[in-house]
Amino acid sequence: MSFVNPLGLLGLIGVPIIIIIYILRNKFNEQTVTSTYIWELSERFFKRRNPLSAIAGIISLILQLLLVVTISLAIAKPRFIVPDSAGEYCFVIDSSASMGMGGIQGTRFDRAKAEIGKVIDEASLGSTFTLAYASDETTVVYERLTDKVLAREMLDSLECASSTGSFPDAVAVAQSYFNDNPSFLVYLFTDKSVGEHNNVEIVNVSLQNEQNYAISNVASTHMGSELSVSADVISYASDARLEVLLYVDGSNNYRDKQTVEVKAGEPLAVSLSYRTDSYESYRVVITNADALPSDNEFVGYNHKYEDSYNILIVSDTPFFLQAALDVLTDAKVDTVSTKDYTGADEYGLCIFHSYTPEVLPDTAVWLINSNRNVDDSGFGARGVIELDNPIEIVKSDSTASTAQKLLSGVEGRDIAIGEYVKYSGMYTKFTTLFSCDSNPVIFAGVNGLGNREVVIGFDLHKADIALSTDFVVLLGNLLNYACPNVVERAYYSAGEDAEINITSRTKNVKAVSPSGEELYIDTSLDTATFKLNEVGTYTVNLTYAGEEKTYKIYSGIPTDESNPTESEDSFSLMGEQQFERTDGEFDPIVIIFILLALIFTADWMVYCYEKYQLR
Amino acid sequence: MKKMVIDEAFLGELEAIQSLLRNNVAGAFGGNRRSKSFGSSCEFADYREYVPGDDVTKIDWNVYMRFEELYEKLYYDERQMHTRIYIDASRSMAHGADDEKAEAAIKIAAAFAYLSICEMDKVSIYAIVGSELVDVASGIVGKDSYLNCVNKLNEIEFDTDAHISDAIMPSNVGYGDGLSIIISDFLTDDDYEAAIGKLSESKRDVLCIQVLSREELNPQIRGKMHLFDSENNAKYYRKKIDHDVVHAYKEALAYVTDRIRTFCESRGARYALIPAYKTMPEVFFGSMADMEVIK
Repeated sequence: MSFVNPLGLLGLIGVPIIIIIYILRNKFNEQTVTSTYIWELSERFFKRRNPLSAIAGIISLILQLLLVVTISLAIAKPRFIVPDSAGEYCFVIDSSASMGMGGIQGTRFDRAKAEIGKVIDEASLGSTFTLAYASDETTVVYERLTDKVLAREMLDSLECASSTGSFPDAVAVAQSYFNDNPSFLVYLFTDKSVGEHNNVEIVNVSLQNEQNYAISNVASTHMGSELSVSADVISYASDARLEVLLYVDGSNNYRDKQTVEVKAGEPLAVSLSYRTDSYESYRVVITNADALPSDNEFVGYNHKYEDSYNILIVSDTPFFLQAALDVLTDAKVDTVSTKDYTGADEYGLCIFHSYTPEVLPDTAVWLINSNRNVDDSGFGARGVIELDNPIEIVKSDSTASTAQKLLSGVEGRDIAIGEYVKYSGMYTKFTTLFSCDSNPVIFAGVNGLGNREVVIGFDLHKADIALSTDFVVLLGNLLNYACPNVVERAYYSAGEDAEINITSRTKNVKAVSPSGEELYIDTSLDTATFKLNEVGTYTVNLTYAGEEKTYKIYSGIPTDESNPTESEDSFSLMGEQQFERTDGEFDPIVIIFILLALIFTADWMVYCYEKYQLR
Repeated sequence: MKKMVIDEAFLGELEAIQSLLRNNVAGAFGGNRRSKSFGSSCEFADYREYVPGDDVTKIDWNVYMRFEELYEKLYYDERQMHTRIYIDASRSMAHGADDEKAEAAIKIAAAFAYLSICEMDKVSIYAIVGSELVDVASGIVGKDSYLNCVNKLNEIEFDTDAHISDAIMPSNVGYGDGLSIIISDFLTDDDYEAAIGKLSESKRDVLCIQVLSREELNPQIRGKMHLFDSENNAKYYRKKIDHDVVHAYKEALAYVTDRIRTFCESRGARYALIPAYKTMPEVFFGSMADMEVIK
């Protein structure tokens, strides 16, 4: 036996003190009474009915001594070593969105926490606890913690995430502990069907017959004056009659309604529509109550309505460009000849075709066939390279995200050019998209003014690119790059990173989560991202060209999470399980406190009995 | 007695008790007292307000003419009764909270004296001091005399020992002429028996009133106690007093009171146990009535 606080035993000094006080106080009290006659006579009638009465006088003393001893022990906290009783526990708690499924009795995540708490409580003192929180990535909440109370507190503070679970990541974490000690007891608390598993105890916290409906694959079109919304609705547990409503622009009155009979597990397409000239958002809702309400709703935002750019083409031969832009954008496109060009700061994009301005405008620019140097362009022109025979330009095989994005859908074959401008000294922030003889001929990046810049190093009229199918696609990509919508996607799954396109005109970007958490976005990169941890609408506030703008992004439950039973992830730990235990401890503190309460109660009863009942 | 036990308020209380007991005091005074009190002698004693049921021939019509209220003339009986009241003036009677026993003894004595006076009896009150009887007020006849003498009860000193038999036995207790009342705590072995025996042999109606304090009836003391006797410091009782001891005490007290009662009954005397903390109305309409001292 050992003591956590041996100094607590100093309380035992109270034992002799109480005994001394008892001896000092236990003398006969003198008192004069009317007559001792009856008292003396009472001796003839005196008999002990209760044998305990003989020690009644010292019961209080005994109880008080026990109290002092027990209190001292409680402070000293005795611990008894119990051989081979303690283990090392590793809990992996699935924190994916589906774990939030539940009713008034609590969610699956709550049940998982309760099960973990039970294991912690029942584990011997001296055991260690490791908790891994497995959402889209796995976080170790605590590692080899021995304090049960702290382990429970930290466990209780956990909340279920809204993203998908990541078993492979969790397996890697658990495997590292298992490698350290093959006697690690690994528990996985999940609602998913785990396929292959090894060296892990699976605790499934899902309940039978939990009803869940979901809405998915929502798409919308706005043709003419009609907003059409299509979606798939599904009931996972049983056949159901679902009511689907369409709301537009935040109105509390639904604009269309569909009631459909769905068979269990079979998605059913529904269509809803509403006549409107314009809209900012719509919401599709399954009104039936179920265990996971957050996948019964989808909110779509129409950002194109807000994003519009004016484009200026500075060219003496703008035909190809005008034709392409007419197809690609609804934005207003102005055209001026090179001699009429005076400036373009009021435009969102300025395209210089076979013309190099003296000064770059403070806006996004395309420089096509620019063969002169200009300050802040980010590159130097080294003259025109004339080719004897047209040769094909080569598409970049870069895996950089910007290159991937800009070359998305571009095959890049059979594009030949007869001459090109050789550039050098490019900023490292430029990304080459096409090259000719290892010289970049189409590249993009941010120029010295902080604006997005696209450079095409040849005359469109002297290349066959304008005739290829890639032309419109590439121009579309370049247009999106140079004049990006601030928010390109209005719908994400929770756990994904939302992207905000940053230009020199974009300032003070701040996102607000559905729960009100404010996220300040780093605008130093072309594309800023922030993680969507919650389900619901995120609001992005920013200043664009001096104007305050607000965009909304809906973060929905990942579709896979609506029906986690379909998951068949494996959870196998390599190695051979061993069952070695370390010495644990038995902490009798609860017993001591119960004893303390009993003694205190008994002492109190003796006191009351003496003070009130007998009198 | 430093305290004025007999005061105006108490006398008013007595008047009320007397008024309520008027038709029912016969039991207290031998059952024939009324006829004896209102005898047919010619000696006028007092007036009394007419009560329905009284003899209408004794109504004083002259008084009625003057005051338009009916009063009855009272006459001394031919053989006047003599109520003798003995008060134990021992120290034990004055011990305890607020001298409650002494106070109760004086009040009871005063009350019985008044009731006797109202019955036209002669009343003598004695204090038992040591082995002697001290005459507190003797030969009281009539209310005026009572009022003149009753204050002397306040002067009784309860600061000696008292031997009931030693005091009463040598005295003139009378013979067959009325009620003898002994008021004491009777916390003694058998000091009273000879006295009661003598009074009974003298054809006296005997009433023994035992006055006990609240503490004596239900002791509150607990723990290790060294108890000294208030009348004799050489006597003491030393014990750890707990529930069982107190229980034995109560059994002993019951034994003592029962023994007094039994002895009294064997001598044709009556006995009443009066808790000192009770008020006079409670004593007369409660305890006395319950024990059939008052009928």
